[in-house]
Amino acid sequence: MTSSPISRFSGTDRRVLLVAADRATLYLARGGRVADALQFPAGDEGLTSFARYLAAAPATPITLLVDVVEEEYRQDTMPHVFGADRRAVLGRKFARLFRGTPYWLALAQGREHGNGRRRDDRVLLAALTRPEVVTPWVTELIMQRVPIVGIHSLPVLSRELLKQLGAKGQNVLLISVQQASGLRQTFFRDGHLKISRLAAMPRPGTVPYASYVTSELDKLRRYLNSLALSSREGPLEVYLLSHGDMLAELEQECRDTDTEHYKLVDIAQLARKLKIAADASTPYSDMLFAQLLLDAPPREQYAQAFETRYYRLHQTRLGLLGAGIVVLLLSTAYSTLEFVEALGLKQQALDAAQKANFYTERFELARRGLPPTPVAPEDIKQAGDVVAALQARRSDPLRWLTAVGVQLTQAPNIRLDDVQWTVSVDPNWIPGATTPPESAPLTRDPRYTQYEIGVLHGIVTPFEGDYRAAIARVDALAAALRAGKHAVDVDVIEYPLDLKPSSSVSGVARETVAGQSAKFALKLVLGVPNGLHKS
Amino acid sequence: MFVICVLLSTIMLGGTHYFAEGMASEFRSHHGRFRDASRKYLAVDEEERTIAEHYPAFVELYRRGVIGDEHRLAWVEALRAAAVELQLPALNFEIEPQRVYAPDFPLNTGAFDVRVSRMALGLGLLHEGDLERLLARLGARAEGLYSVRDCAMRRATGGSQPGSKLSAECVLEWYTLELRGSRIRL
Repeated sequence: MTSSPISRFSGTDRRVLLVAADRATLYLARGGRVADALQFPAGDEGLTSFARYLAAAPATPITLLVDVVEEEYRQDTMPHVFGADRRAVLGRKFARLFRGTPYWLALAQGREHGNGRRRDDRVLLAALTRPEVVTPWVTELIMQRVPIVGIHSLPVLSRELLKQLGAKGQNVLLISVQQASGLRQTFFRDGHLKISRLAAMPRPGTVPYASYVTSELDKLRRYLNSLALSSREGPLEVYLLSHGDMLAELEQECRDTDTEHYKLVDIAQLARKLKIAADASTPYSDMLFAQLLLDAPPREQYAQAFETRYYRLHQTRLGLLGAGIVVLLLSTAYSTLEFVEALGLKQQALDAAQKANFYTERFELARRGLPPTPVAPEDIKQAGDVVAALQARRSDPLRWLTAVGVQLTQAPNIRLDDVQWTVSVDPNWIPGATTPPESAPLTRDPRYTQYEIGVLHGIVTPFEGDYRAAIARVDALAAALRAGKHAVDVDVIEYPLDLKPSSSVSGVARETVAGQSAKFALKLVLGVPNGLHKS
Repeated sequence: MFVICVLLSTIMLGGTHYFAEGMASEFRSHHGRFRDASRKYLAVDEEERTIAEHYPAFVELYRRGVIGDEHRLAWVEALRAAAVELQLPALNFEIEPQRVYAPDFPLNTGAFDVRVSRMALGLGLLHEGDLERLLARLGARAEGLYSVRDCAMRRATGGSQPGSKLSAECVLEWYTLELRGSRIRL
């Protein structure tokens, strides 16, 4: 592991900060694989360097991995509840067990057997009891607005390492040495983390490596036995991660027994399996855990909501960026299609223009052979049609006068004094009127589109006071007119004697008086078939 | 970045839409012109037939004052001649300004306006048949097309024209056709 110029890491994507008591190691990944590392000592000097680095480096997300002695574990049970109830129960437990730390998590580890009792959840409660080991780094990250993905526990992350090792035994003890923190022993029962212990690791060469490891292993084994954490039905499988001479030392030291089976794992081989880009020829497992965290971060982690807010912001920004790119791509695709379609239309428009010019020229040539006309040829015929229609609808009073005259020749006692005539589409129209009639007793007959309407005024002569005879003559004239062709209505407007009860009447009843007359008025409406007066 | 993407998308979509609309409009315009030109070209033969068949009648109507300008002077001369021939005791007239005619029946006038001039006639008649003869002479000689709209006839009284046995008042409507917004000149 080396410290490198910052400029080298401008191409990094994700980062892991392994926080130990006396230092923090920043692992930098390219293409998702750990490629390099930077170390920052704990304390003001290290934090200043870290701040300087953060200010200069791109603000890619950082995941924190904590490996400190001050991490405690408690096996516990709790009611099988979910959501807000679960959070409330856990909150009370942590407040009681780990007072004063905001960093806690709970690992669900199955349920208790019933046996007539309530089947509570088994949980492992873990907490960082000295948060000040972590908070300076977290504070600096927040100040620099670097997205914090989460704060993870190295022992909790070890579960993922078991999968890589294929460790499926009932009792598994994982032993690794981290350069940053020391010797870490983590015990799993049936795949569930039960306890983990971190011990200081003397500098290489100062003490026999294998002997030191096995002595620490003895301490833990005694502790496990005292707590009866391991199953007696199976042996304890001890996985030791190391490399090179140290691995060879361990092979000499560790002998399988009935109760203990040792499995020595070469870190370099495991690093290759994990496709770590950096050189992993080292007895230290720091890089393995950093890669595991990048590959499969555990759901359970220590970070509080406010500490990961910049990560959520980062995610939102990425989401928006993705959405923006999608919108841009879709609109580009749509625009391209529309543009291509528009170009097609342009081509068609040019073709149409060419054809239009061609036909216009041909038309002009052909037109030159035609005699000049003041209006377009199609309008010539139209003019003739309009004139023909007007001529067909020419009206005069002769047809109406003839109809009346024919009947008058049959009525020598009737003398005509006054005639008013008009033509209208309304059979109720009154000759001489300038406004439409107020009442419309006659409905329009579909056989007629126009009507000739005339009112004639006359007298019955000679008249010697016989009103009954005079009225009979008027009625006879009306009846004769009514029988005529196309007579729509004949109405006697005025009789020689007004017989309506509402009117007043005066006259001489017993003798003939000179000058006395029998006046009458009569209205005749003739229909014009199809509006054609000539028919 | 999202805003820039959306902005770019909007500009791109707007630009291509504007371009496409322009192209579509150009296509519609040229295609319409092509359709019109081809229709006209194909209709030349028909036009030739139409001219041969209808143009002489058109010219005749123009000459008679039914199409184009109305011949008011000819109307008045025809009236005077008829009155002299029929020895009418009295004849007076009044012609109103010409206006566009709105027929009270369906009439497709195409590119033309039908115009009307109302003429009020006051007549002194010797006989009922004089009115018929006057209208017949007017129809035969006057250059134009008329229709009688209203007519009133009454027996002459003391206040009527001397020598008249009947008096009549009629309203005639003289129709002419004119190109809408233009004038027909032969």
